[in-house]
Amino acid sequence: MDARALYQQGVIAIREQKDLTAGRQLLLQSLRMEPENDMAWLWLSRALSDPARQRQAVERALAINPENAKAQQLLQRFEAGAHIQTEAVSNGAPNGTPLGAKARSTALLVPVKPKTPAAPPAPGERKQIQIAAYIKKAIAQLSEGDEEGAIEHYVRVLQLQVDHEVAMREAVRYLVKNGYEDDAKELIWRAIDAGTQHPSIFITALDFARRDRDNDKADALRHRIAQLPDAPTDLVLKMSGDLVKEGRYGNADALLREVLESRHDDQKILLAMGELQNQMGRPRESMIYYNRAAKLGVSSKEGREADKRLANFAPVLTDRERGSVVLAVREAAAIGVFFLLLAWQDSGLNVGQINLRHWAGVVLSVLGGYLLVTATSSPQQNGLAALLGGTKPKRKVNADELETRMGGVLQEPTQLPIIPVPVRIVVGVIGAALVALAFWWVFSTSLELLFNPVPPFIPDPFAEF
Amino acid sequence: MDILLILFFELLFLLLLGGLITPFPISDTGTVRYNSLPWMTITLILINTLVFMAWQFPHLVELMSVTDETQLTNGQVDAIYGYVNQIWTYGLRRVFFTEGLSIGAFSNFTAMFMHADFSHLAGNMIFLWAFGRRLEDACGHWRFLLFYLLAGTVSHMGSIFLIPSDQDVPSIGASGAISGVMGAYLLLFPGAKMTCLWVLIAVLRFFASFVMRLIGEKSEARWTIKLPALLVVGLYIVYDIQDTFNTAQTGEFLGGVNYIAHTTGFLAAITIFLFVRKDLLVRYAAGRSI
Repeated sequence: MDARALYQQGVIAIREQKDLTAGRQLLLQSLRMEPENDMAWLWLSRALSDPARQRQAVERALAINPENAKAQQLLQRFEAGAHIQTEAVSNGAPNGTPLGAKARSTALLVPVKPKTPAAPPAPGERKQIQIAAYIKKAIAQLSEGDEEGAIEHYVRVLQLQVDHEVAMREAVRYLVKNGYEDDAKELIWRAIDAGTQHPSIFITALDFARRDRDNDKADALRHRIAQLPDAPTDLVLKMSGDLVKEGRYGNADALLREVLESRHDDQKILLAMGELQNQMGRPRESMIYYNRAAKLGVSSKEGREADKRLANFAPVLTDRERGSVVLAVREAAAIGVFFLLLAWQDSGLNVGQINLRHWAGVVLSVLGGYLLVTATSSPQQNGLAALLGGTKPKRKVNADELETRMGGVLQEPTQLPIIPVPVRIVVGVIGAALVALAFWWVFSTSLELLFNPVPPFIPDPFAEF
Repeated sequence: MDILLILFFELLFLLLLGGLITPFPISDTGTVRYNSLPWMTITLILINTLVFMAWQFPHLVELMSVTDETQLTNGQVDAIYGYVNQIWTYGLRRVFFTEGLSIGAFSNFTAMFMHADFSHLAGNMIFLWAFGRRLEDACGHWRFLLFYLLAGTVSHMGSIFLIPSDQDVPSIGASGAISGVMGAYLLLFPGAKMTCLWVLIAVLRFFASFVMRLIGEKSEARWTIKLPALLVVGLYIVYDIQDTFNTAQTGEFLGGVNYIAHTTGFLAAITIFLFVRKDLLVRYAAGRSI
């Protein structure tokens, strides 16, 4: 076995089987072949019982890779532990007090379990003990080069737990390596048929199906993966990306739709769906998905990316914006501000001379402006639209559907009443008339001067000659 | 024909000189989201051009033929009087507002559409084209017009109040309103990039490209450069603020430019939030790009 495999087995022994002795041996074997593996030194530190040796192993890992954050963290803990111990001693606290125990447990990293009389294991626990024993044997056999024997033990594990991930992975790997691909498939399908929820097992099955060019089986597996609650988003994206690479856009579309049914708020999937729709030549659909992703927030990378992509489309006008009276009044206020400035100019730039007519003109401009805004850009304001005879749209609309109307502005389907066109025309005409009258009132002096200008002083350009 | 050639070279001179040391924005690179024709920007450019070409330019054409200032023809003398009369009657002067002279507050609008010469007009219109289209798209045509007029009005008021009251010098040009447009552009699209003409950089690029080709490397040199709008507009704001203090103290227009109108025009940009489309405003408030 090569250094890398020994390292992996060692990690499995420590992490999965909690077998520190086997893990230590495997890691030491691996490090003899590849002493520059900082992670192996780090794992070895966990498998050692002597704190001084643990620290040496961590320091060795850091010497190889000073950037290793975990090693840095562990070294800090060692130092903190030493500090606590020093403090405890200097404070006269005897070894074995809670403080001393805390310091030791920090240094050992593995909490010391209190010794209690052994109780007979429960059936589930017994099964786990058996599984751990089989895996340990399999690892030992692999280290001796006996792959067939290891396979046999992994298969025994799978007889106890049909979808044990580690056993499945190792069994399939060595079965395929030794030419027993059909047996590997059988193990995989047995787990799937038993209702496994492990995405990794489905992925292995999918790999087999793709290798066999069995598209139907591959699609069925993708469908199953899409329904898994724990299917990683990146996995879903990879599957859809693979389908796109194969030119099977429709299948990628179906896959992402299926995932989105259960994960409405997954920005990554929404963004991918937007891109897929764009690739499929459906710009409007792609916009819907980008918009959904961006609406979830632009603090994430995907949200910002979706928002950026949306720059290629007109924004969606929503009922919240259409129904807002404040947003409509804001536009009327803009007209009022402009007219106020004009009134001030007309009053000789003296606020004190702004007369009643000017003020009335400003108020009228806001009123007329509001009517103009209502007739043109805000005919669906809450309350007002219904008051002016507005009715709700009769057509039922799909939540995802967008319609293109009013000068190409993309709009979300509306549920708000809209003022009928004839009423809007009347309101608009009244508004325009009020604005014109307001202009007359705020600019009365200037209008008079426009028709009867008073000649100003003009310097003679030849005066200096 | 001669006049067209003169205008062409004047425009060329403006671009080269304007973009010699500092970047001269000629277009924006952003997406126009509503795909609408910026017809209000085009109309404003046309009106400004028409007012200048049809009304002011004939006087200037007459003056182009002057070779000896002491030997003026009657026509040339009339042209000088005509040109001066136009500027002193319809330009922006404080006395028109305070004493009700000429056309009173209407000069606020006439001054906004008048220009001193062709390069003044061309420079302003290029800036309006560069910054105005995307802003019009974000506001809608009529709201954009109202904002343009409001920014121009604010800049004129700033100019009247900050220039010492004993200085009675007329001010003309669209630059106050266009400064408002530039400021609003920066507020709405802070991450935007502008296509600029920058002669100094272009020459360096061509030189580098020439050297690259000499050593057998492929290289393409361009006349224009894309720069962040923040940098381009920021440069203009810094220049304008610097000279605004000078003008406010002395009452003199440095180089004939009313920097106070520019600065107050920039300040008027804040009102853009009253004019921008409501859907975009909501997006902007949510921290999303518009």
